[in-house]
Amino acid sequence: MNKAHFIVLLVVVLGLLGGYLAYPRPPELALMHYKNQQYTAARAEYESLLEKGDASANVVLPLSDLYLIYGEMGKAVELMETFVEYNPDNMEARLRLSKYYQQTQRPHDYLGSLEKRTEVQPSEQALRNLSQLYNAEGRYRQQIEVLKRIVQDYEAKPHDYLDLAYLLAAEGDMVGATDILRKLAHEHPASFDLRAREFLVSLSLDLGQYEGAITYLQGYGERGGRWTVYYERALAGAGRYPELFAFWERQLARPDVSDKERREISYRYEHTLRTLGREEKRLAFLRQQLLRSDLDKKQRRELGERYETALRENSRWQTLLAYLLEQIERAESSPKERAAITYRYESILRKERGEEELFVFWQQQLARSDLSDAERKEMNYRYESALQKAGRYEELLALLRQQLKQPNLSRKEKQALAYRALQLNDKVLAERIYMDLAANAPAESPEVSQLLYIWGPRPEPLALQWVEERARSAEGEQRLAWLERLLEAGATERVLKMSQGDLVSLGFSGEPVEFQMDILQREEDYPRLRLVMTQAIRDSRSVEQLRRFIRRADHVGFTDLASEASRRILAIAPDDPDMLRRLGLLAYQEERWEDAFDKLGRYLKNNSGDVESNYFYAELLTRRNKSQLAVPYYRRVIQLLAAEPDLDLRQASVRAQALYRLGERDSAILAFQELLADNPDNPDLRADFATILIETGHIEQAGEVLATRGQGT
Amino acid sequence: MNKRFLFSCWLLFLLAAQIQPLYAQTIPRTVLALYDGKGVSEPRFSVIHRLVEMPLNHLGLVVRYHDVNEPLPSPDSIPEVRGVLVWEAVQTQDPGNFIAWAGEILDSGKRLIMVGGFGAEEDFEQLSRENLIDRFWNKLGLRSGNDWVPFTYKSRVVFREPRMVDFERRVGGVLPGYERLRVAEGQGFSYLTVRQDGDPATDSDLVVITSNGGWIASGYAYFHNESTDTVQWYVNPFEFFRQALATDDLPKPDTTTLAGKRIFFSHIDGDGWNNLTEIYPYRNRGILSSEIVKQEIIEAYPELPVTVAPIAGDLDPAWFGSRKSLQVAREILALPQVEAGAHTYSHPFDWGFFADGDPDKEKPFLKLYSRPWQGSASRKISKTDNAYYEKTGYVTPRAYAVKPFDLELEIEGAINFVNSLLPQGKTVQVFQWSGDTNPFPAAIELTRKLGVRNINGGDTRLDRKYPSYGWVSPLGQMTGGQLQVYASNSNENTYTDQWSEQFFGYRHLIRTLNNTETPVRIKPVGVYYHMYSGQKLSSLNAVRANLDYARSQPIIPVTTSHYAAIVDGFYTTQIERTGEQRWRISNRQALQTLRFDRALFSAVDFDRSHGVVGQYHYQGSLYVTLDRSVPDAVVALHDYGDSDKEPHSSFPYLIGSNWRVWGVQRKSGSFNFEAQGFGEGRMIWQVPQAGEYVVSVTAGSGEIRQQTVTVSNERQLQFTVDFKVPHQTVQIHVDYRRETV
Repeated sequence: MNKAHFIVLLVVVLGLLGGYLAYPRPPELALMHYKNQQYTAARAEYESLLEKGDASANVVLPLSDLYLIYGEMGKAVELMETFVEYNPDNMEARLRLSKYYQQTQRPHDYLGSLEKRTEVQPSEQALRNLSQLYNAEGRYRQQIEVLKRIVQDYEAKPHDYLDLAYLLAAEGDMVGATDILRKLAHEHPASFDLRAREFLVSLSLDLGQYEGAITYLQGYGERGGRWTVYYERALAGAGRYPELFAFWERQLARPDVSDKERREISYRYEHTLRTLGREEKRLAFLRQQLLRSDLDKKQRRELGERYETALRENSRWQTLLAYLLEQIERAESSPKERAAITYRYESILRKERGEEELFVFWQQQLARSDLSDAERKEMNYRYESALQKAGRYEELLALLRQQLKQPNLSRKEKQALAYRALQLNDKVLAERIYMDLAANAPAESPEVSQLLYIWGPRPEPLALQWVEERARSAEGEQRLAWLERLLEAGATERVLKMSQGDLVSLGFSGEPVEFQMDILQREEDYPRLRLVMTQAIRDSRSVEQLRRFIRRADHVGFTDLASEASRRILAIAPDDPDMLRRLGLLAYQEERWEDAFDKLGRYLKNNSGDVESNYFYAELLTRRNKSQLAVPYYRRVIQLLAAEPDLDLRQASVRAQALYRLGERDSAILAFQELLADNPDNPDLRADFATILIETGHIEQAGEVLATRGQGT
Repeated sequence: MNKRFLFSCWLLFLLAAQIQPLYAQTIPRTVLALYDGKGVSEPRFSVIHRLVEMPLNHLGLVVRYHDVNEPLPSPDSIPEVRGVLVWEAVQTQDPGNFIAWAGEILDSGKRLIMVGGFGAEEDFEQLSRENLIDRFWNKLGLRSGNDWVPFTYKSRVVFREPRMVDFERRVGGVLPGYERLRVAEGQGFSYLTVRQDGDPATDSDLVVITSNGGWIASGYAYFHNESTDTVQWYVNPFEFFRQALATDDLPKPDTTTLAGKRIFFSHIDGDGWNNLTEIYPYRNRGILSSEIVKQEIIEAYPELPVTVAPIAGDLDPAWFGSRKSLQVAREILALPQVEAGAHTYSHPFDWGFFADGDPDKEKPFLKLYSRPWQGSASRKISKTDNAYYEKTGYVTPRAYAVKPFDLELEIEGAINFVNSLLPQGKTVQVFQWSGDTNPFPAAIELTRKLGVRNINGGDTRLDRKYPSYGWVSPLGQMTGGQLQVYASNSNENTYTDQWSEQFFGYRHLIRTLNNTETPVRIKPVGVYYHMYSGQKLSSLNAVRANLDYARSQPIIPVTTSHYAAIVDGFYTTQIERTGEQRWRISNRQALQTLRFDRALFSAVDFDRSHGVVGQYHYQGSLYVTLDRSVPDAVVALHDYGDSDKEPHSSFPYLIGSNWRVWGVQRKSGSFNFEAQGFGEGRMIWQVPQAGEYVVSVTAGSGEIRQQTVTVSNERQLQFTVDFKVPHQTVQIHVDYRRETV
């Protein structure tokens, strides 16, 4: 082999060797397919390598990606899990597995892989992710441990401290939470914001770490709202009362303190003093507050009530009375407030100093000119009640007289005073008040009634003269009303005297004779009434007046005069149906048959009539043997009675008779039997029945009816 | 007909005429939510919208927002309002005025719910005001302790009712400070009571239902950790609001269920249409992501309808489109299971930026756009230098700025452009909001004027990363009188950290779908994604996994516009009580399910009902399917003792169907109806008797298919309709033939 051959051979060998070396091995071939997106081929190559035992990262990592491309997520995860199991320190594999877990939505597995990663090679980001995951899962204790590691080992952010503190506190580790917050305040003072500070203060107070709380409250107690409450609580808890009181006083002295703040501070201040038993200071504080000039009415009232309570609780009655009196006399107190204070004052005064002092108080108060009417009234009432209760009537009457002197007393108030005087039996005073009230009152007024009551059944002439004068000075109906009052007072003669005089001037517009009759009738002077009425009937030409005379005569039992008046009417108006009926029935009763027949006939000629007129007229026709003519009248009687709901004895008897007259004898007998059974002692009924029985030929039965007389039950 | 019968009828008529007015009144469904307009710029950012509105929607209630800084409405002027919800808002306005108004609300018989009180005592220290506050609490059934507990390390929970509290998170750890309040004797019930230092005199009730509303102390409704963005309910919001607003008497219009099945719908935003796919073996061959989605997803799941909404700017060759992108769009939109949508022209990210209609505002950003409408692009400013990015998270207000912003072009122009690509008979049905999905009212109004539904926004998640109902969105948001319908679930963008990593992440949608089905169905199955999911294998597989999951579920697939119409119907539905356990349901648009909660022992009384297709008991509730051909349906219930099986009835009724069913005509021994759906139609009917039935299906073409079905003693008739033509309505006639031999 010459040199040339050797060189050629060498080139060929080297070429073959190079070709062999340059020919892609399976891993490279797979990678080439993978990069060319020839996924099927790449996958087959990698799977083949894996099957042959090549589980290196160069095979496993691209193959797992290929599984994802095919959407075979389970295979990708499984492959990586196996790889990580054999390569626990391969962080790239762990990261990739974590990512796969995330992408395949396997949060629990992701959490597990994260836990492993933070064990093997912790990082701030991994711990943060872990913290968030624990939070999402509600695993707060684990989250606390992770946050502790972040705060301890890394550049923790302020929110890490806060998250940790909140979680520790929520889990009951308040001490741990305060430690973390203090650390935040120390290491990140700029991030120790208001809420973090408040949280630390709140925790410290709940732990009883008052001095610690005060440290974080310096300068914040003045912020108002919850901050003030925290600061006060801290000072009180630490027993630093002088500072607390000084703080409150500073707060109250602030020019910009709001009313609400002042009220609340004042409450707390007072409450603390009370709790500490510092009653003198409490009273002094309240008194001092009350002296402030800038209090509005509402504030003054609230403070006053608290001051009162404090005085009561300390039994400082004299001071309390003085304070209340001061309030009563304050010009700006409203009447309602003053009334309420007065009431309280009175009860304490009665209790502490007795009733005499109370009477003196009332007298003094009633002498005041600035009392409102309502106040005066209320006080008078209480004063009167107390005097009456104590049986001090003279003083009570004196009070009434005094009250009467008040100007502008209303009518009602005067009435009340008069009534009270009557109750106390002071008729003179009552009469005086009523006379005053009745001066312009009408005759029907209660005051006049009260006067008549006071005067009694036989008033003094002077009293009657007063009424008569009122009657004389009155006009129209009022005059008549006053005359009525005179009659009530028994002064008939006075009235008669007046009526016989100038009646028109008295306001009487009707007939004088009837007015006279009214008086006589009211007086029950019947002899004189008969005389006056007889003459009046004789003189009258008025049908209407005569009718009124008839009504009056019927009323007082002057039947003859009533008949006379009826006849007078018939003389004036011969067809007057009422008078025809009335005189016809009268004639029948008096057995003046012709007259009765004439008048009832004329009456029923134009009128359907009532039961009586029809029955009696029918009887008159029967009596004249004109039974057939009588039938319609009997039938009318039956018809009218049928419309009645209940028949009395008389009506039932008439019905039975009518039935008999109509020939309905059995019905008539039955009706009589029933009537007699119900009224066995009625002789007229028995006689009527017997008559019928006799007329119908039942002689024996008639005898029995008459024989059993009076034996019924 | 004899006289006695006629008389009875007349008597009944008279009684009914007298009774009817007592019942016939619309049941109020609105909750007036007071929010602080100074604290949040729009109601959608309020806690009530983010957390509370979804449970209220579930309870059948519509929320109307009112800025507490505006004059408060008189109770007489809001008869439709069932109750008032005040969430930490009273501190922002004059408490005296608020208290007087709240008193009037309570006096009017409406309910009042307070979450949070009047704050620390130093804020309200005047005695007169304290008296006012005391009176307010008394009226609500509470007694004030006039005390604020700022630090709670000495407070411990002494009573908790698990039915109401410790819902997603146990009340514990560092308790928030609280106002001391107690339930007045006989006025209500406390579900959470804390005590300081073991002293019963310090007891405070923190979660309370009273006879006329409820109260939750500030910080005790839910847990919130700002640094981790964690939200977890302490209080069970479904239970709390059910009791506080007394909703048991209210049948719930339901947007999750149709024909007894959970609704499925899917929609794709066109973002990434032109992205070249990276998926082997298509990569490097110039294949678009949209082509992959068409081939691997849309065509692979023909029984699952999907709404595809391209961005017009991605297709318009005058913008950033190409012949190819247009061709792909035509092919996709021609597929029978595809409903056409539009996803704007220029893809606005920040809708609020354009609300004032001033296109010149965009000028400072133009250099950041490709082919801007004025000047030229420089793109020298990095996004971190951009203050706008800091504020909004977007580099530019929209994706493209080839033309100045024009709302008409953005909405009507986009719709027209997509319409131009559609086969005959197909038009755009829904507009899918882009970017921050926060359109201003004029934008929503324009979609309504153009006769299309709208959707997107909400971003519902309920999985291990977002383990709270607090992340489940309400049905939509009402803004400026316009309703924006939210998508029922979030899309892959939120699962992939803004499409930056874990592209497989959208697989986790299944967790949300499960959690919004169990223990309570609160959302339909919604699979919402973008065309860029066709770019990567892992994202494509994620969409597939979600659709495979949907396939495995008892669902009824509908189009996205149909779901949006159902939600629209939720807001307009009126419910009148017309008798004992009897209601008239009107103005419901496409909403055809009424839910009765706690109705295990209730069933439809078909004798007294009208326009009811069927019923289905699920999770203790009764889902009643209404007939869309009956505008004013009447639903009556009666007691039903056997909760183990669907009730027997002399009326045939639908238990469940993956097709829509309507126009049900029942005759003696037979019934017929119309149906339409996607894939094979599978139905279960409860029939009056066992035996042999003949089911005849007539397609629109006139083709008739018959099958004989034997029904056992369970009396459930099950059959499948194998016409697989989407959108085609079939007539189905069911005849009882004879008893089983």
